[in-house]
Amino acid sequence: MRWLSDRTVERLRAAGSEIDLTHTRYRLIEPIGRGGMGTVYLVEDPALDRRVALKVLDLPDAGGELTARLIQEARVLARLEHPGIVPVHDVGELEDGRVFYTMKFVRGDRLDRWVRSGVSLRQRLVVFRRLCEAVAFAHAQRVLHRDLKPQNIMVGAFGEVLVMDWGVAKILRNLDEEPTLRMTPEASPESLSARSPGASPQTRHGTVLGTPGYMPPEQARGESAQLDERADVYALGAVLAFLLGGRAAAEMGARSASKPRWGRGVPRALRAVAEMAMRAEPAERYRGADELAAEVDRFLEGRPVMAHPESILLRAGRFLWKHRIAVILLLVYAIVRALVLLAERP
Amino acid sequence: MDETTRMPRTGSPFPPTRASVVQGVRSDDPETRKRAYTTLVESYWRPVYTYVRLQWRRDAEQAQDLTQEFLARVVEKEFLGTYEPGRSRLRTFVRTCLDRLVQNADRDARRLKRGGGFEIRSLDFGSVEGELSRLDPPDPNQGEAFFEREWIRGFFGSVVEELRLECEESGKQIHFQLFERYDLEEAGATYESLARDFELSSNDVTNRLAYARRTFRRIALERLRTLTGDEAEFRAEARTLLGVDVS
Amino acid sequence: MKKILLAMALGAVLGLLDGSSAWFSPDARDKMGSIILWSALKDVTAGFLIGVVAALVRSKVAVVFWGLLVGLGLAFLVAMEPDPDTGKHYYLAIMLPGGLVGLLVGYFTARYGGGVVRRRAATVT
Repeated sequence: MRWLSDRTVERLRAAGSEIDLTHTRYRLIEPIGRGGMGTVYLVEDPALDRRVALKVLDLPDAGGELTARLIQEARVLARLEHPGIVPVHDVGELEDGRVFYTMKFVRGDRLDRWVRSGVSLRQRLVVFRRLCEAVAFAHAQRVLHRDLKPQNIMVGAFGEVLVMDWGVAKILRNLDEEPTLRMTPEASPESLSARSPGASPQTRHGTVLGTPGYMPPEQARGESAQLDERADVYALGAVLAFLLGGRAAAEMGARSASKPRWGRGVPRALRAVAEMAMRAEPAERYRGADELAAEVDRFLEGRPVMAHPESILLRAGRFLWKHRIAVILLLVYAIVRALVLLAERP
Repeated sequence: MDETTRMPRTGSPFPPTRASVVQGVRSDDPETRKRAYTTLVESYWRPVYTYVRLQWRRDAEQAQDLTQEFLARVVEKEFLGTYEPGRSRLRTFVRTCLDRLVQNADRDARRLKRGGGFEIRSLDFGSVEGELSRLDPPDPNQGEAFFEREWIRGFFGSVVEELRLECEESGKQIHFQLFERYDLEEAGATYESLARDFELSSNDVTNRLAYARRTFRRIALERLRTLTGDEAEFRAEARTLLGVDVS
Repeated sequence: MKKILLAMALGAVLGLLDGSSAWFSPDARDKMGSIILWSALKDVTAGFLIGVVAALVRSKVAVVFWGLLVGLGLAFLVAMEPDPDTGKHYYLAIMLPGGLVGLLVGYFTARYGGGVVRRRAATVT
């Protein structure tokens, strides 16, 4: 029997776990991520000479629920054409019956890793602002993400933001038109339709989907029928808290409906914004991601935020701080002028 | 269930059902028991010998005696009588029994008599001796990890051997050679170099390699099922060894 | 244009203030009118020169530096003229505030004067 080195054993273990892409046009490169529903692989598309990410279920799905969810995710992504939402390219089926879809391969860092690379507060807020834009776009298309968290957000080399993992997304109303799917030869429209009866798996009331610390109380209670845009606003608030504190909101003591525990040096206005987004009562939160983005804009422009009313003194202080260079120059001028006058006196 | 049951879809990555050795050694059928013991001996003699040589630091002769003694117990006594699937992995149970045997042998030199005359002559200890020099000396406190590593090495070695035989029998020698070059050789060939060397198209290389890997995985999972105590252990081992979830 | 007007307005205001400060020197009080007028004229001129450059140059630092140079240069021209009564030159007393006025006009224009003038490029429709 052949003796195998440790390295060969490791390669065999990897080879044993690889998916079989025979009869698809893709060539496997390596696994790049694993989620609750499936695994994402980096694959090569020789026809277009490019690398794409391929997401596939870990197991053939006897019940069909996960398959339907994966297909819905692909359809949601196909509908959401936005620079902040990862574009889907193709849907298909492996030989073993597992459904897959391919999407743009995003080069960059997950938000939770990116934030550790010593980025400034302004950079964090700019990225958060872009995240809000992408989510607001999805909301405009009547799609809720329902699982926004740093692990599902990618930041590219130029600060571009891509929202990933729409596997538990909820469509708020029936779409007027069915999206047309482009099929690979092995995945006929009939076969996929048959595998996702009704096209969109609806989450049963009482089912809890999401991530603790990032899901609002109503979602944690399984009230999926009551969820609207403000559920994502809560998650965005938790992401903002994470960006400000650098730690997961859950670690910061933010259970559903409770305030995050803040570290030092976090501006009060931003704390107030995150806390308002994370209010237990949906009616007390921002009405949408665009409203939350506008708050962050106000902060970035040195204007007061809605969530944190300011006294005249505070406003004056912030005005002076905003124009501090001009104020310092005027003061220097006044002092120099006074000194010159004093020096001229006999 | 002794009969092999294939999944309905071709190319399924999930293994057919094959009886566990734990069930086999408890079977009333002498033939089934014999097969189970043979599987156990085949799978464990190398890691047992390596473990005794390096972890227990015995010389070659002592290690051979202890290995034979241990295997004699496996075959002659109700070795798995006290094993309870679900409480520990079969591999852990085997290693614990082996530790006990070596400790007892230290106390009682008479035990080094190769199980009262029993000896498996087919074991090629010489080949294992040649491989020992390639191994890092084990950490004295990491016996479990060392035994596991050696067991996995032996396990994959036997899977590769079975894959080679199966490919040869079905006339797919090129498939195995591609697998050998791409997945077994240290240098690691590329798809392009393989296509060039075997005068195949890049697609052919991809497809044949995929076949070999698929077969490799099937064999690995089949063997794994026989070498685990129950379904839960099988699933856990499949995830640990191959990173796959098995339904 | 917006930058030039802003810079000239700033120059006028600062020139008036700068000239008015002569009131604190008892010897100069009888010449307050002409001092204020010439100071304002000098700083409006400085504002114009700074504004033109600010309208063309994108770099704030360059505009501020140019403002300082213009302020110092014009103040130097003024300081070259000796005091008619004493015959003394007041280089430091005139050039230091003058340079600061140029710097202030440069900074305010670059910071609050809006974008730079761009040449119109061919538009592809």
